[in-house]
Amino acid sequence: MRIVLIAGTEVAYHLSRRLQDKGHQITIVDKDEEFCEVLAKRLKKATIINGDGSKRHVLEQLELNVDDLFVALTPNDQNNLIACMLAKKVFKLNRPIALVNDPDNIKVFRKIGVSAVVSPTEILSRAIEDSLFREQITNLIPNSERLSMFRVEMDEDSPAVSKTLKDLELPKDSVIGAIIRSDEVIIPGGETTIEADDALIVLSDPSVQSAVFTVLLGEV
Amino acid sequence: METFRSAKVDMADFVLVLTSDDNTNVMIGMVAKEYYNVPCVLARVTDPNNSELLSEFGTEIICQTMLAVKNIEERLGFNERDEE
Repeated sequence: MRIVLIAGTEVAYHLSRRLQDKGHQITIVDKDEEFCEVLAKRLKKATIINGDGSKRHVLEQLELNVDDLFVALTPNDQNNLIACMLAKKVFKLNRPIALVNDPDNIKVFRKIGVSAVVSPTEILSRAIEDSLFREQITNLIPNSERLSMFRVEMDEDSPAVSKTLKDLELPKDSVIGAIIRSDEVIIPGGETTIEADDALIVLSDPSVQSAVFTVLLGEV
Repeated sequence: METFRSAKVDMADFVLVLTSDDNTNVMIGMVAKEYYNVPCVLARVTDPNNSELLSEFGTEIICQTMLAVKNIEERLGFNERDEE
């Protein structure tokens, strides 16, 4: 199994370094000849190819195998889409991954058949959003759009402490799935009382997540 | 995408995609057809390989390279026959 990266951006370089350490074989395709040479010097073990990775004749030379992993990382969404479409339709790769620079394009990519997308803009905005919350809250599945799953740590001042679950006025579409109390996991029922230093695992619809935090922690 | 929205592409009966960049044209062609369900989409491409990708989506294609090739072929063909 090989890993093919289209475009030798900084992301490609750092990704290659990490993957190489794990023993994967890396091929990078980039348009810019000078940059290819720089990459070849920096990544001694990787194969660097100078060419346009969104062109069929270039991809043909790679002798792509069905098991190969394929990631299109150019700063241009069109090129990433075409590269992935070629990889999928012509070379029958299972799951080519596309970097999507404009988050608005994500649904377009999915609709057209490139389902594995990574959007740095969106990841960055989520990360900033998460760090705006209090430290007590950890987002457990940061990339989910339909479901929020949070770990919420209670302290003595939290309004939910010493209440039973059925007395908490949690919004509809939210549930406390588990309570972690001194390394023990409790699956709570309506009579379970929340104690200080509990960590609650809360599942909810993203639209009510801030209401959940308000009930558990007070004003966020 | 913003431009698409402001141009009300979803209301269009016919979309012509004619920029000089192949990849842009292929992507816009696919988006117009697949995402906005425009009944008739015509895209210009230079690389014949790209026309294969697009035709799967039911987009009409004008490939200038193939047009030129065919044209030259025809002329050469006629010339050859004339000589025979």
